[in-house]
Amino acid sequence: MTRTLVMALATACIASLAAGATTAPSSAAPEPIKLAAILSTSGPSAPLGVPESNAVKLAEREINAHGGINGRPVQFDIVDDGAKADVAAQLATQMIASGHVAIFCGTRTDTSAAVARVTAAANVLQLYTTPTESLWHTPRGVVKNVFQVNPRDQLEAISLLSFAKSRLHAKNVAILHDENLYGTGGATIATAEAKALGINVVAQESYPGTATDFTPQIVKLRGAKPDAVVLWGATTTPGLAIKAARTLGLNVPILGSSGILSPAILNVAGGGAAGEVYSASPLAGAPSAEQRAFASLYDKEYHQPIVSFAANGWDAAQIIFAALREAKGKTDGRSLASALEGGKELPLVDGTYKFSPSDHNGLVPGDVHIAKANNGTWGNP
Amino acid sequence: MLQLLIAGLTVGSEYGLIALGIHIILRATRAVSFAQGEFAIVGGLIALSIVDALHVSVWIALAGATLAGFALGIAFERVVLRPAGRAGETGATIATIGTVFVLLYGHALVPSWGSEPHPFTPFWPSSNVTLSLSKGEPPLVIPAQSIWVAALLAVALVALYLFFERTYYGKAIRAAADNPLGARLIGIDVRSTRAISVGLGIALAAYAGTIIGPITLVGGAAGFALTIKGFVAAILGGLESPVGCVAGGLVVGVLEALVTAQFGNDVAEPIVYALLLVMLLVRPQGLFGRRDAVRD
Repeated sequence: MTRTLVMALATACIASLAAGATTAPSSAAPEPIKLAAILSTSGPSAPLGVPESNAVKLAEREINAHGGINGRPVQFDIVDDGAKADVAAQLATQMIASGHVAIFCGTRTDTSAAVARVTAAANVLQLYTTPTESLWHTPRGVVKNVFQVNPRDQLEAISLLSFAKSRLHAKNVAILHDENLYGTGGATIATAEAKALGINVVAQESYPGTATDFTPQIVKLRGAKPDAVVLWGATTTPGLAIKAARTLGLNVPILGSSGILSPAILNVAGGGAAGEVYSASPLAGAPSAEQRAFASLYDKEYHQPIVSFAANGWDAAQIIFAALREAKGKTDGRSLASALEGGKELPLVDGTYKFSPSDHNGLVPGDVHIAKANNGTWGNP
Repeated sequence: MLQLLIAGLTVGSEYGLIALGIHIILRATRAVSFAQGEFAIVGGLIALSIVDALHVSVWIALAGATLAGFALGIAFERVVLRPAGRAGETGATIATIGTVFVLLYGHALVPSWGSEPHPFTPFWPSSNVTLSLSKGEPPLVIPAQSIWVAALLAVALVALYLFFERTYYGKAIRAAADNPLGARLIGIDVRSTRAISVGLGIALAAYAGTIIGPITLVGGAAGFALTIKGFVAAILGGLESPVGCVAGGLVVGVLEALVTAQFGNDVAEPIVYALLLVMLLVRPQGLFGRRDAVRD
């Protein structure tokens, strides 16, 4: 019985091998270039990760429709880290082991930082989208393989505080920030830029990401009598801060980082957003040709207007494609990074990127524009 | 100062209701339910869905969410606590921690809920009460919803008091919690009283999540932090004392608001949690508990 079974299995194996030999194409199709996107498409950062993921899918489809890269199709595998840094790092290890030559990670600063340790050790190119620049710009120098999409914190801070000084005539500002890496880093940079512009920082308060009541922070900021409040945070929580500020009579202009630039935050703030609430984004102002083209593609596919996170996802994918084109077949992290550092201008949705060995963000303050909340949407001030 | 007191009492009311739920479930099952905060989140989301889908008043949504919380509690006892409890009280407590993550990630999968918090309709569409106490000082603002939270906390407490003191079922639940064997001997169905107790505890959480919703939003990922604050409140007031649980919640809420305003959020969080350790070391029965209530 056993002997019969073994014979049958052996025959089946030989038959399948023979069938494979007869059906194999005479010339093999080019192998796809495998890329990975490790994004937070579930968990608290899903409102950011989902549009990023949508944009990556669109970018993959478009590049393949136009012949791929150097004649090879692109395979962009998107996986969900659930907004967890340890999960993101594990996924990065798996992706690199399975032949993915560049990683787009990710949605959050903590997940991106965890993956940066993995990509540095494996010499793999990494793109990330949060404004925190410390992932590539460290006290020890520039991290060769890590590049940043989206204007870095410093550009946002310069834009917001210059606006506060020139247009709002603010002399004293208060800073309210999330206690996470994004909020704390942003607050530090905003403080430095305020000083550089001759603006006094009269109070600084933080809040946990799960904050539900902002009364203590707002009471303290109100007591410092600022001319404007700089709010550095993301997700919907800052909407509660805006609401509390208006409820408690803190009616000065609020200048938020790009993390607050979503209609959901204005929905949470409700009537509180009726006062002067500003934010900074490359998508504010008159749309560029690249922004119009991407908005049209995105709307056709998803029937939605573009948000900054979708723009970031699209730009991250395009920068990886550009690096692969320029590196002419080489796919290791150093070669791809050197290709980007060559300084070729890349006009994309968030602005015209021009990377160099000392600048892995490649954008300038002029790429960031001020947006103003108006009736639940963001528009020009 | 008064402004902070109002904010602290409002948030503290929610902590108190969470603590009270922990107390009721602990008395009936000897397990600490770490899932109370998540059930509060789910309760608020159920209320949101009722308002959105049926276009009914928020009061009907509150009743619906509380009833749904009760039903969820009965199911929670039957499906999770009872089987896990066979391995002992520790097993049941650990099962509640597992439930936290099932609810946290599970509710995010519901398309209309997602992982982000949502605004919720105020209970009364009136403006806030503004009082000018002294010239040159900012006025005292009492959010209308804070008044409703205080009133609805009182309603819940009176209803629970009447249930436990004046009804047959309430007395049976207390008897079964105090002495399960004795209760069985006089014909009380201890399994049923345990299920009803857990149902009440979860209903309280759903009620809390709904009444605070217009202030703090409904949904999101703040459930576990809420549980821990409720647990601190219960330890502070006394795990075995219902009055202590509510009072503990109010104290934690006010303390948190005052310390945050004075020293910042960085200091407030460790102080609130340090309070837990201090109480366990110095007065484990809590401010309102009896010494003999502490078990070895």
